[in-house]
Formats: sequence, structure tokens, C-alpha cells
Amino acid sequence: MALRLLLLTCLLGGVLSAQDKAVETESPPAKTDKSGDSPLFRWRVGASLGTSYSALLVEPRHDRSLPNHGINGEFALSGRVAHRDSGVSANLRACWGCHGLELEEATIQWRPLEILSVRAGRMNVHTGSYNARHDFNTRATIAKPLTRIMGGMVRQVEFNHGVLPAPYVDNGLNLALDLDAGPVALRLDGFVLAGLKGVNDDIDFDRSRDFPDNNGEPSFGAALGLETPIVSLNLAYLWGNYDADARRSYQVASADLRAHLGPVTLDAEFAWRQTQFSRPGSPGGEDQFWKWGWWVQADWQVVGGLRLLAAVDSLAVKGIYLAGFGPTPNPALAVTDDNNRILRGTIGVSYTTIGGVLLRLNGEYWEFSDFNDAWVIHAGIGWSF
Amino acid sequence: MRKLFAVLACACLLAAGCATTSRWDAEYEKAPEPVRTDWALTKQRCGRCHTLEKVFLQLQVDNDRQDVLWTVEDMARKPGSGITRSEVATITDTLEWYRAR
Repeated sequence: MALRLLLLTCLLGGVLSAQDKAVETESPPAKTDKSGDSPLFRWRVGASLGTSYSALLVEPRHDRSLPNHGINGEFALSGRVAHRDSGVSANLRACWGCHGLELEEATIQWRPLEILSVRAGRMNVHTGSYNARHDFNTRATIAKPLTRIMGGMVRQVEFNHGVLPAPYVDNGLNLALDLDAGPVALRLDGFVLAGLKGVNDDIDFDRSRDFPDNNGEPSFGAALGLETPIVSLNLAYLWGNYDADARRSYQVASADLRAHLGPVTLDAEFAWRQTQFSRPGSPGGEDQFWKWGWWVQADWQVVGGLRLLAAVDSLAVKGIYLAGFGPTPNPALAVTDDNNRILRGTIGVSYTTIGGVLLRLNGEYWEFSDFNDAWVIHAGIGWSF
Repeated sequence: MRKLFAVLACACLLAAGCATTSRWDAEYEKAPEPVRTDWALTKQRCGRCHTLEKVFLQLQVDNDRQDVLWTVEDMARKPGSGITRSEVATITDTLEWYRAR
């Protein structure tokens, strides 16, 4: 806690200092040409530091249905270096947050043709546009959509998170084609990945970030992105086996849309996953359950750095029971039936100061089909560059 | 808990009452007319996913127009950026004016 407070104090001090300096500079001095300073490489560095407070407003207050309530933090550093002549670049991003120190990206990117790029290593897999904006300080809400929620989820253990992790980080290879036709840009991605991982009857997002491939078989993915000045559309599909014996498969499909209508940004996403599991005593792979969710959000830039948002999202799990430790095929261990649903409404306000410090406050109402409803508030402060 | 909620809400609203015009807007009022025209597009496209502070901090370390172009092309390839190929040059020129001013 002391370390977090110290970091935040330093950050805020730095922001205010930088702001004062810029305001005082009425006539900025002419910038010298630095092109001779680094003739071989161009580089970019970034950092994202934020902390948040989450509270579950139900009785009893410490029933642990929101596992990571209280104060949490996410601190990330990133960098990119590119060779000026060849265009080959290296990307690195590390985050220290809910799961300890995680390597989110460590890739080389090579562009042999103007329209073709190759990325290899540990990567943020572009399954939908939200994955590119998962960072704590670039998203409008503190909690993620139910399609991709990990922390900040009421009944997180029982539901075992959302449909897809955010970010989805995996080791593998990505081939991308970038095609342009005037006001429209088209992007096609193909992925060969180690794949999502799990041990029991569902995928485990935490275990999926382990470096060794648990079953020695690759998983595959494809994505299609369409960009226009007003609307962005992304479709993605993933397939693989998640268990160590490579007997139980999963397939994920998602579609998302982002529209910019003046000061209002509309986001919508649908994600669906089919996951195989085994009945007790069977070799596995002979039964399956479905998890799907949708999310709609409107984010309105009222004036300057002030934004208001409203969002509605839902998550459903069908074909498997929920127990206190997660999804289970065994009804004797279950606390619900095999058809569960969450509906959540969110309202929020955020403000970005001139120095770039982001302040957010969200209120959420969670309606469950098989558990008690709940209110949650989140408050956060962060800064990124 | 309600008190905390109320205090945070008041803090957000108070902050909202503070300056709402970016210093980058003020800088661009001094720019030539074509750059000022393109500033609206640049601000809108970059501001979709992150703050403009992030953009201008990066410009502090960029060496030349090629560096700026490299970053803009990178951003244009991110899913959901909404930046088309034809806009890459416009945004690059606008940011390059700021970098070299």
C-alpha cells in the first residue's frame, strides 16, 4: 500500500509539474532536429499506472462473492524498438497487477511486404477490438464487459469469468494482411497459438497464461477487421483443445462493432464459446456446455475531459451446473441448475485532467438468475503515456 | 459507503468544472489554416482510444516525420482505431507540425 501511494504521489507530482511548465511556455523555443541522435533505431516507451477501489454493497459485506474487492492496482511498462532500415521491430509489455508480474507482449514484428506483417512471440491476440483497449487507463469503465470480464466480477468463482480473457495473451505466430480501399481499411489475421488451457471441466484463464503448452497441440484463430471513419467491425474465431490430453476442445466466436457519432462512442460486442467437458468416469470430450455474452455501451464526451457512460451487458452459461468452486457436471456438487444468466447495468462518469490523469466512478447493478442481486461501485485513478 | 460515493461524485464534478480546453487546442490556434482544419480529425481519431497527452509525450521523443508516421501507422492497424489509410498522412502531417514547431 505504501509503495502504491508513493508511486501515485510521484506520478501526480510529475503531472502537475509538467502541466505548469507547459502553461508558462508562451513562446516555445524552436525544436532542434534530433534525427542524428539515433540513426539506427526508432523507439517508443509507455507506462500505464492505475489503482482502483471496488465495493460490493450487499449483506453480509464480506461474503467473498466479489473476490478482489477493495483496493487493486495495475502497473504496466511497454516499449517498442524498430530498426529504421529493415522495419523489423521488437515489442515488450509487462504488467504487474492482479496476477503478479505478467509478460503481456514480447514479440518481433516483421513486414516483408507493405500489406503483410508477421508477428511472433508472446502476443496480445487481436480477437476483437476490445482486446486492443483492455488497458486499465484506456477503457471507459473500471470493470471489463461480461464478455471478457476477469476481476471485478460478482460470483466470479462460480461463473469462472467471462467468455474470453482480456487481454488474451498467448505464445505463437500471427500473420496479418492490411488492405486499403479509399475510406475503408480491411485487416485479415491468422493465428497459430499454444491455446487456452484448463484442467477440469472449463478453461482456466489464469492457467492459460502459463508459458509451457500443456498439450503439445497448436490452436488456431482467424480475425477480420473492417475500419471506416465512423464504424469499426471485427469478427474473430478461435479453436483448440484446452486439456492436457487434447481431448476436450473449445471454439470461440466473437463480433464487435464500434461507432463514433460525434461526441458519442457506441460499443457493442457478442461473444460465444462452446466448451467440451467430460462426465465422471468418461475419457472426455463427449459433452459440451455453452457460454455467451453481449455488451452495449454508450460513452458521451460531454465537454472537455468529462465523459458519461451507460452500459448493459449479459452473460449466460448453459449445459453445466455451477458450484462454489466453478462449473461442474456433477449436480450433487452444484448450487444452481444448468442454465444461469447475469444481467448487469452500469453508469459511470470519468474525467481526464489536462495532465492526463483519469478519474473514474462507476456504479453497477447485477441481476442474477440463480443468486442474489448485487450493487457494486468502483472508483479509480490512473495515468498513462 | 454512501458518503464515499457522494465525495467521489463531487470530486469528479468539481474537476469537470475546471479547465476543459486542452493546451494542445490553444497551440493549434497559432497554426496555419490547413493544420488547424486537420487538427479536429487528429484529435478525434487519437482521442478514441487514449488521451492526447499520450500522443504529445511521444512527440517529445520522436526525431523526424518518419518517426511520427511509424507511430500513426501502428495505431491505424489496431482493431477499432477507425483510422483509414488516407487519414494516416493527414494525421501525421498535423502531428509533425506540432513536433517540429
